[in-house]
Order: sequence, then structure tokens, then C-alpha cells
Amino acid sequence: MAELTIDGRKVEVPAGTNLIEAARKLAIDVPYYCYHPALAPVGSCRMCQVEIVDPGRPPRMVIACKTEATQGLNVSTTGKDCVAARAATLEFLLANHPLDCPICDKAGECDLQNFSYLHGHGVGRFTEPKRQLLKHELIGDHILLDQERCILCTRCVRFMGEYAKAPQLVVAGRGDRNVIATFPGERMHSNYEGNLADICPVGALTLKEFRFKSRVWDLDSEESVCTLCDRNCSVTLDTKRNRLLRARPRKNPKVNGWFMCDVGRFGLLDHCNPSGREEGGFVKGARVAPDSAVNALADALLADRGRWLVVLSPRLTCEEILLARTVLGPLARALVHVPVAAEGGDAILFTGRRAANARALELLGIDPISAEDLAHVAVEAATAGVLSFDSVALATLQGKAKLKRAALVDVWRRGDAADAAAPLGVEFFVPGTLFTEKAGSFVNCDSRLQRAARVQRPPQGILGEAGLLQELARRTGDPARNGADPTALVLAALGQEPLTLLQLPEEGLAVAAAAEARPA
Amino acid sequence: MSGGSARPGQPGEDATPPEPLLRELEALAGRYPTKRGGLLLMLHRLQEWRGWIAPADMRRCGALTGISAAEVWSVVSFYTMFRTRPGARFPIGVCRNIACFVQGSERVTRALSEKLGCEPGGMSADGKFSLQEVECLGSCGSGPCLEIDSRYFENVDADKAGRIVDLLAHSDGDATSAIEDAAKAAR
Amino acid sequence: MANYLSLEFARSGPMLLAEARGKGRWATAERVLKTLKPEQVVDEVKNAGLRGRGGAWFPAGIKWSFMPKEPKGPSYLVINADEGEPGTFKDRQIMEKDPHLLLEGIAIACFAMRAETCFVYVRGEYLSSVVALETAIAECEQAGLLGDDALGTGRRVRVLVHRGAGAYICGEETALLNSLEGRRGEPRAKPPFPAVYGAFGRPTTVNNVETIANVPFILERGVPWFRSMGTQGAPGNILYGISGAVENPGIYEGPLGMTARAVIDQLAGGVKAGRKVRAFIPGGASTGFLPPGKLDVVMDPDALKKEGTMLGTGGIVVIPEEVALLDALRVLSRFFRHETCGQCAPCREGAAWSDQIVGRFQRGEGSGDDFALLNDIMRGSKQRTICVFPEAFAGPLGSALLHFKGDFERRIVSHGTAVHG
Repeated sequence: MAELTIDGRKVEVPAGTNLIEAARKLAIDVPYYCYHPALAPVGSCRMCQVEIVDPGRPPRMVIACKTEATQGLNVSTTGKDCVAARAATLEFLLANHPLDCPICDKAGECDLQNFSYLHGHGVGRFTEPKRQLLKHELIGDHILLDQERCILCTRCVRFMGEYAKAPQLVVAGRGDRNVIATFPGERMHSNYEGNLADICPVGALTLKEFRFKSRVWDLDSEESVCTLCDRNCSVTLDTKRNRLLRARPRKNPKVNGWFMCDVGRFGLLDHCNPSGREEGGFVKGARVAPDSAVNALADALLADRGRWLVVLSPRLTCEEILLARTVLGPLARALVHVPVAAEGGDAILFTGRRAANARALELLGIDPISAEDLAHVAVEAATAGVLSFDSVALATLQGKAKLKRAALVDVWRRGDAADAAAPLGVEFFVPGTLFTEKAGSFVNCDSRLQRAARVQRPPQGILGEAGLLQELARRTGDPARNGADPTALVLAALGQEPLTLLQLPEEGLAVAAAAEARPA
Repeated sequence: MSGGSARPGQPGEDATPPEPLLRELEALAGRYPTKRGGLLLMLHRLQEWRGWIAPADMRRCGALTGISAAEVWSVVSFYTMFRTRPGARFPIGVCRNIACFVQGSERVTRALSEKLGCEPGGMSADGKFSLQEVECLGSCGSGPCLEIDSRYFENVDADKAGRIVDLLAHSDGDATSAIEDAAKAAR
Repeated sequence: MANYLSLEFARSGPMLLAEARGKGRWATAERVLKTLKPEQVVDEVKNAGLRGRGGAWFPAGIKWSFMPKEPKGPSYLVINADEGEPGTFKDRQIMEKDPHLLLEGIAIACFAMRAETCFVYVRGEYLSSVVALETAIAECEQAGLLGDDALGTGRRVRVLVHRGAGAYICGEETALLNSLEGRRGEPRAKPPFPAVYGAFGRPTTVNNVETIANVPFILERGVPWFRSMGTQGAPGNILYGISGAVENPGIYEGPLGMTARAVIDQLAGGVKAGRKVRAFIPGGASTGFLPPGKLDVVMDPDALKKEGTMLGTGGIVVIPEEVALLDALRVLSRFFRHETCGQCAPCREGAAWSDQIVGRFQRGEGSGDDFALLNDIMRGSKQRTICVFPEAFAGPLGSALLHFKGDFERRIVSHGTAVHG
């Protein structure tokens, strides 16, 4: 450990910590561009300059990103030399920077704006013709490059090389002809492109999916998790007028570090804004209001107590899984889930297992069953019908067996078909809710439980999975409705301290030893 | 610089390097403590053969050195000597830096520009000559100096420059020999 | 004061091995490798006070002593033959006329630093130097002077020639190392210094050609001999370069400590007949402009530093009155703009911005506000970047503003509005 003084305040940090991180512990924000905690430092932007005060000598300037904290070091971030150095660096960066703020997506979360305001001297003296370079050029599947806005911090280049292991973005040229570029005529391809828009401190790298969609200060931002695989990367979801406009990774050293993959980032946009969503319920082929469908399905389940096979889904929250176990368990013939195999995962974040809450199903004791065995059990005499919370599992089952009766609770996209038929031709269809339309928790592949906030309202009338389960609870005397918080019940069932959703730590909670590595 | 026809005897954009050159490139990958160390010499050799560095050359160097094609492009685009478009048969570079400038390099450049019918950065209409202004070549004591494909011509004035162009304009066959002959004759 | 470095420079081509041995080349290396210890060689070079002739004038022996005495893995010697500083053309002479002098110096230096491999980084344009060196190396390998059993000592000394590809910044030692590794020639932040993390991550010393060329003579003739020439702080001879408006431009050997006037008059035949000096550059472009009143400056690194400039590479360029100072300045500001590597914002933007402003003055469109702005550009970038390139581009610009301000003032179109937000 090393104890040092920054701006007159003492702080203790592990040996080897750089001065940016040491200052951060004191809530002192040393400005920087090229530095990023997840990448190797280069020291080229010259923004993080601070002064080292040695007794009896004039202060010397260093770059904080590459200077290690040592015992007894005396640092100033407010000395007039480093203040002047930062202002000079900003004037240099702004010299050729285009005045794009009014049309730039980054406005409001731009470090050039922010640091100019905080550290610039407010006067731009550059009156020469500015450089003219490529603007809004699609250089990958999602990323638009604006070379004029670029300040050449090279975070993007280092990210693609060091983190995404896809060194397809480079600095080309020399001197004031430097630009960020791909191999001429080619585009990038990687599962981590979207992160470039986050790490770019300015609006040089932006997402085509977000272009001109909203000003960032008009967005409602909430913490949640990504549900496109069982990594459950911590994310921030940005919505506006009930539409998910942007998903960004949220820093979580225990789950995803700083980043998220593109499968999740862009998959969420599609997942959470389903077009052609079926908003009605179906009973015996006729469209009905959702609550009518709930009632009819509840009738059927109770009428054939012990004979319906229930297939749960890894898209459900922990709270829904536990409630299903509590109320449907006693009612059903069996409560099962079909484990989903991992496919196409990379060694970085994306596991390839498209089953967000798979681990919760295991930990909460829902029996696994193979698709083949399910097909056999589904048509046994003892089974009256199959209730599935998972349309994919149901469709697969229907492909293997002719079911006597079927019920589905899920979000269903009709697409463009003005189809009046029930989804998958089931007898009972209850429209489900997206994970963004309910507050709940998920457990990831490493057994970490995290909170997903409610950020969207479902269409009018849709009560979803909770609607059905709470109706059944009400009718069966409600062993669950004792007023206890649903999340606390989940944690208790997992042998943990019973916290509510909002009491969960920001980084989530480990609820079991991390699962052993599963074969891909 | 606008593209020109391939130099006579020079390979076209799609030509693959001949076997001996490929062997040389592989050897360069093993010459240094890392494969990447061989990159600059590989690029020089490919440019000597093709007259410029084509995208396929960059991909090949990337494969040989274990880096991406984009990283090769990053290196190629940094260095002034590497040409990434087909060039002229005789690429002329006139030093424009201080010692040559003081000794009249601008007159040489202007004379060449008039004779070749192009501005610095351009190419003669027949594609035989290109004209470029370059930085200090290290012949400050014998300036003005110009280089043609790295062969130095020293103590050049407007007249001598014109004579050099005449000698080359009427040459055929291998460009390198023609340049060498012109250097001896223009002494 | 006998010359020793330049005895072969009048040749039309390189001296081959047989003749070189006849003149004594390789004899010293053989004696050193067979009878001395590495530490003794380092001490001798330290005591001789040999300072690096690449521009920085750092004591070579001290630099050598930073190398590990018990290396766990390879150490490297890298010769900086990038010679890109405008006005500098001395290292070429050694490589193209007397390559065995350089190779002998390399062998001794490698021995002293326990390095088995030396890379000679030759700028891409110097094809003649590359050919001369490779021929000489092949001769040495044939003759057993270099290779796995150099000079029959059982020690390995290999020399490989590498080529740059046109980038002045590769003369900066860490940029050179990056270029050697097949990367963009961008300088590295220091620390770590090359002796700790150099070529390919190994301990490395980078030395200039001329510096190494002195080594065989020091080992042959001894410290008192070397110190009898030159100045107290910078002993030995130097290869002065003189170009521009002089009668006999060229490379001339002489002791350190001559005045610039003496170099021009005694070695280069004086200012060209009928011309007057407007300004002169003492040691290569980045050392900036001095007025003719300063021609008696002493060509010594410490003396020139006191004058606010540098000895640099000792390449004097004489600028006659026919050349406008602003035109000469523009040649150099355009050069530095072209050659900045671009990593650091202050230098990338500052070199370009100052060139644009100088261009405006050249066209007679200067403004009174530009003086403060130019000074802010220099002050805002010097000592605020990974390498000393801003100091380099500030050399000509700062000295021009200091000594030749009138030339700027005559080209002002407006005295500025000095409006601040």
C-alpha cells in the first residue's frame, strides 16, 4: 500500500495504482481521454497532467495515467501549470474540431464538451481552414465514423485490439493527416463494436441505431441486466416514450467489467420493441381480453388438477419462477424446464446460451428435462395438457408430439400477418410481458443475482405471467400472498439474507458458488 | 497522385509475387526476434517488385507477420516512401528542404514541372514520370538534390534536371538500369 | 590536430575489407575482444568523455553502463543511421566510404555491452549506405570477423541492416525502436528507457553512427589522446556539415570548439563570393536560426546551449540575404508539420497550426495577435508531450521570432483585434 497526498488530502492505495485512480478514490476527477481503466495506458492525449510537488523544488508536471502512486508523494491537480497545460491541450484539440454539437449524438455526454467547460480557457483562436475528412461513414455493422470529430485518443484502436481481439481499427497516416480507419474498402466485424460508441469520448464513433433518435437528456435511464444470454451483463437501459432507444453496459467488475456484446446491445433493441405484438388473449380459437384468457386457463388448470405439465422458461424472473413453483407446483403434474445448450459463444462475454435465467431454474429446483423426454411425457395418459411459458420450447415440442391440449403464456409477435389464429394454434393463449415490463431479478451463469428494473409499460390490459400466477394464488388460498416481498422470498429460498429488490447491492449478489464450466 | 499504367515489365495489380520473392518474404519473417520485425523490409521488397504496394501485398505481409491487414495498412500509411497506388516508371523526388532550398531547389522543381507538364504531386501525361517534393535527403553539401526511385542525383540545376529527364524519356527496358545509366551520364 | 574519422571520405566508393585491414581496421577490435573485459571498455569510453553525436550529446560511456552486466536473455545495440535532420549528411560518409570503421566500432561496443546482435537502422532513402554496409558485413562474415565466433573469440557478434521508409521522427530513439519492430515510428513514453525495455522488449542501447566510429580510435590511442582534441566538456573531433551559401559545402572533420565562423571560413572556403549572410543554422534544422552577429559562437554542446540553441548534429546551413527569413522558416515549419508523428495533440495540432500561421505571414497576411498565439503554441507543447518534437519545431520558430521579429512585423496586415470571449 502507499499513502500519498492529493490536493492536500491523504489517501491510501495499493502500490502500483496510477494517479488517476488514486485521485478518483478522493472523488477528484482528473480529466483524461486516451486513458481507460480497461486498456493499457499510452499517455498521448496529454489531458491528465498533474503536478508533483517535491519539497524545496519547483513542481514538475507528469501525466497521471502513467505515474504510479508511491509512499509520501505530494500531488496537485490545481497548480497553475497543470491548469494551463489542460487548457492548452483543449485549445489544441478544439482547433480542428468541427462545430457539430447541434447535430452530434454525443452532446450531453461528451467529454470534449465537459472538459472544455471545466478546464478550457474559453477562447478559441484558431482561424485557419479546418481539416475536412470523412463524416458519418459506416465502418462496421453498427458504427458510424466521423473522422473530423475524432481527437485521436486511440481508445477505439486499443479496444478492438486488446479487448475484442479483432484489430480492424487503426490509425492511418501521419501527423495532422492521422485518421482512424479500417483496411481500405473493408468494414469491421466483431461482436463488440457497440462498445466503441461508449468509449469514444466524443461523437466520432456513434451507433447507427441511435443516430438522431434522441437527445441524451431526454432519455429515462435505469439499471437493469441484459437477458440475451446467461451472462446477464449489467446494463443501463435508455427509454423514451416507452421505447427502448439504447442499451449501454454498466460497469460491474463481478459480471461484465466495462463492456457488453453486440448480440445483447442490439438484440435488446429488437427484443424490447417488438413489432406486431399480439395484445389479445385466445381461448379455444377466439380472441378474448387478456384477463378472460387468464380466467379460462386458470379454470382449466384447476379442473384438471395434477394433470397439466408445466414448462417454465429461462426468460422468467426469479420472482416469477418462485411464484410458479409455489402456486403451480401443487397444481401441476410436474414443473420442468428444457435446458438450452450454448451455441456460438465467444471467450469474452457472450456465452451463447440464450437463456437469461437458466441458473435460477436450477437453483430454485425446477427439474430439467430433455426435449425428447418432454415429448414422451407430454403425450402420456396422465398428462391432460402442456402449459408452456416458452414459445420456442412449445414449438419444438409440437414438432415432436401431438399434444392433447396446449396453453402458452409468452410475448408473441404476429409480425405483419393479420392473423386471427391463436399463436401456435394453442387452446389458451395469455399475452406475456417483456422483462423490461416488470421488476425482478435474474441469476447469471456465475450464480450472481442482479436486479432488472421495470422500464417499460406493457400494452393496456396485459397482466402477463404475474397475472396468471396471482389469479391462481388467489383461487388456491394463496400460500404466497402473505405480504412478503417477492425478491426477499427468492433470496430466502436460495438460503441468502432476504433483501428486497432495491436493497440489492449494485454489483448484484453471489447466491451460490459459481457454476462449474459447462461444455459449450 | 493519379494512377498510371504499370511500368513496362512491372506486374499488374493482381499479379502474385514469384516464388523466389515469396521465399525471401518468408525468410524476412524469421530474420528478427519477432515476425513483425520483418515487415518494413518485406514492404520494400514488394514495392521494388510491383512498383507500389497493393492491398494483396498488405494482406500477405499481415499473414506472414501475424498481424491484421488493417495493422499493415496503419504501418504503410505512416511512411512517406511507400506508394499505395500504381506509380510512374520514373518517380522523381526533389528535395525541398533548407539547404537545397537555399541552393535553388525551387527552380529545379519549376523546371521539371514545366518539362513534365504536371504539378508536384502529379504525373506526366504519358505516365512515365511523376514529380514529388520530398524532405531532406541527406545530400545538403551537394544540393540541389533529387532522387529517382532512391537513386540520388546531386548538384542538380534546371538544365541538368532537363537532361536527366531526356535521358530517361528515351530509355526502354529495365527502369532501374535506365536510372543508373542516366546517373552516370548526367554527372 | 590530426584527423582520424574522415580519412577515406574522398573515395568514390566504399573501402573494402582487404584495404581496410591494411589501414588498421579490425586490429583494435581483435585486441579488445581478446584481451580486455567489457567493463574496461565501458570505463575507457566513459573516461574519454565521448558524447553522442546524434544531436543529444549524452555521454556514451554512461549510456553503455545502463545495460545489464548479467543479461538474462539478449541485449541489443542499435545504430541510429536515420540521419534525417536537415543540414546533416555526415553519417552517410562513414557508411558509404569507411563501413569497416563503423563495423569495428560496433563489434567493440557489442562486446562492452554484452550484446550479441546489432541492428543498423538506416533511413530508407540511403540505399547506397545499405549496399555498402551489407557488402562489408558479408566480407566480415566470410573472414570470421563477425558471426558466431567473431574474431575467433568464441563470442557471437551479428550485424543486421534494417531500412526505414521515410519518416524523420524515426531518428528519435524510441520511435526508431518501434520502426525496427515493424510498427509506426511513434516515440514511446519514457520511462521505461531503452536500457530497460528497448528493441523487442530487450535491454537496448541506441547510438549514432559517428559516435560509434570514434570508439576504435579511443581504444587504440587512449583517453589522453582523445581528450587532447576538442573542448573540456566535449572532447574529440566532429564531422562538421556545412551547406548553403558557402564556397565548398561538404563534410569536414575538425575539433569540437571551433567557432561557426572558423568552420565556414577555414573548412568550407568561406561564404560564397559576393553573398552576405542573412542567418545561419548552427547544428541542423531544429537548432533554429542565428543572426550573422552570432557567427563567433563556439561549436560546443554546452556553449551553444548557453546561447539558447544547440549543437545538434553540427550541420551548419548558411542562408544568404537573397533568401527571405520567412521563406526559410516556412520551409522548416512545413517540414515539421509533415514529420510530426501525430500521437500527442499539442504537437500534432501545434506543428500544423504554427505552419499555417507562418504561411499567412509568408503571404503578408500576419496579424499582431499571432505573436502571442505562436508563443502560446510553443509554450503549450514544449515539455508536454511524449518526445521533444515540439522543442524541435520551436527551434526555428522561436529563434526567428526572437532574432528576426522585424521580418514578421513587415508582413502584418492587421495589428489584431485582441477580442476575447
